Amino acid sequence: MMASSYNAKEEDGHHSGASSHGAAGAVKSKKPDNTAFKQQRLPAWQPILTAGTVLPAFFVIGLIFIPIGIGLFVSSNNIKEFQIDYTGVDISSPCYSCAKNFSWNSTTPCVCYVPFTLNQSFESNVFMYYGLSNFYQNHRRYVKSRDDSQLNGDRSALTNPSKECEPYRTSDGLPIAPCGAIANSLFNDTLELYHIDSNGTSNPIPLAKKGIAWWTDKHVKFRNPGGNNNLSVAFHGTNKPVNWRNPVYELDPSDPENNGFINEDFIVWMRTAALPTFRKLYRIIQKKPNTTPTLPSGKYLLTITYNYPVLSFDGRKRMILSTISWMGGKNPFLGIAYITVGSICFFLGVVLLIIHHKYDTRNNSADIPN
Amino acid sequence: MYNICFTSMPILAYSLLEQHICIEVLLDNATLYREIAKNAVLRWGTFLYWTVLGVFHGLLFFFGVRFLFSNPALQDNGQVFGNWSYGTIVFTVLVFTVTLKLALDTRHWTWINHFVIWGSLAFYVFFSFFWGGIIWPFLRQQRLYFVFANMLSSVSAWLVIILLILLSLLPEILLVVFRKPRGPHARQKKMVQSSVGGHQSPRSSARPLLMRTFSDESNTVI
Repeated sequence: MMASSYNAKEEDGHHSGASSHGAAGAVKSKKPDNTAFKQQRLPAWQPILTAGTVLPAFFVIGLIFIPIGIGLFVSSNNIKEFQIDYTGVDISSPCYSCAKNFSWNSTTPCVCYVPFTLNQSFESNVFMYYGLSNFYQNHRRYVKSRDDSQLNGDRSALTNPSKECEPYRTSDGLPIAPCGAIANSLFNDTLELYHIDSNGTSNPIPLAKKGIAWWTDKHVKFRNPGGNNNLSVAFHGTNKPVNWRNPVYELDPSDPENNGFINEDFIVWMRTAALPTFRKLYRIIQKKPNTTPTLPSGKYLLTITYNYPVLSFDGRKRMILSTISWMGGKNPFLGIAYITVGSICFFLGVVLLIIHHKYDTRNNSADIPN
Repeated sequence: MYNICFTSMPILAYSLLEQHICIEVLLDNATLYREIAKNAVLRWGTFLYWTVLGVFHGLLFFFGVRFLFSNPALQDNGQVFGNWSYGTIVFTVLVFTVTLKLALDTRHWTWINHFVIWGSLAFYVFFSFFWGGIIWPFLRQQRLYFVFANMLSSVSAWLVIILLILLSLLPEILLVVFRKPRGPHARQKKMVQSSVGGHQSPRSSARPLLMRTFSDESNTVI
């Protein structure tokens, strides 16, 4: 009984089960509807990815990538960078005694002086970074150990920090503000830079501490509880993190816009780094208004208040001076990668063109008997 | 999130609507069905190819971004990227590569395919902006706040994303060009004989398949 109440209309979806209405169609047809979708007849575009269409793409990619790569490489080579390690591992390094005699509860800060020479002068804005090695800020338990709602100024989170901050959640019965292992390990070395001119006088170089953290971090994500004034009152009832010398409202008492949770050094530290060898922006040396170089070549002195112990885990500390271009800091990788990929694509294009040509002529001659 | 929202619809549309070989050719050469009979497609060769490709992609994404981050100051104001930006770059490259690979494999583009593939990518971008644009009130962690938008403000991040997507799709494109028809000349002869009627007038509004040398009928397997 092959009665088919079959509707020949294109777009109709339902054939009503005419079986229920008596007469011929007693069995509902199992045939799918005759729609374009169900009969797989939707209008479609079928791209033809043959050698003829793909080969020009290879050449185009090669021709675009190689200039980009050259631009990146040249740009990266023009960036000036200077690094100096000041951990104090060797007995001959200036900070050796500070590193060796470090103790947690020393009241007098240990200062060491590291002289260095810049061979080239640095133009335009110069960015001063501190770099750490073998410091795993990307460890999972470490990265989770913070309370963002406390850092956003939430009063209830201030007095009751998140469980993720354990074991840096409370100290002496009081909640810690800011809680967590990331805040506890805040980098607290102080670096100062002096230029030693030809007379032998050392001139301090002005270091700007604004503009080092992400704007959204400083103005949205991190907020002081109860506004920026009277921070010691706002933080009453909390304790400082275990490894800090001063509480959080004394990070920069001279500037209420940079004190408490919105201290830019603190915010920069709280943005956990991706790799165990990393650098973080410390200060900016603004360019001079006339055409004098920001840092002329010559002798300099780096003064370090050595507060941060890294030798216990075989870490290293260094100071980096760098200019910045449109692509960021000095990194030849991207330029080399683009040149390589562009050249490979171009070379593949040439090879495929040759193969395609040979195969095509061979096949054409084979088709002739057909 | 990844499986449901970002990558589920394109593969669903692909599995339902894909036609590597057009209907007329199949009706004329029913023996083509033997190629996929008894799970013939699930062979070790195919499996190993996909596994190796997956490993290649993974290594490329991770180490490509790792070498970029040897100097994490990727913005032109000297500020530094963190580990969430690292992960966001890798994830963006991943989502785009997976979707574009499927787009390269699709031979039969209906409007549904266009909609789900480009729609998935647009949804990913939109969702990333949306998720990172708000301080979520009841969450304790605001890890991704503004991370995506900040990543997009860096030229180096854009360049590395484009480079890695292209590099990971390069084997795919090469295979498309190099692929020879399967089963030496048997299918070629069949194609030639049936080409007079079948190929040149498909009922769907598709352009006729041109060359038989580097033809893409062999896309049924792999």
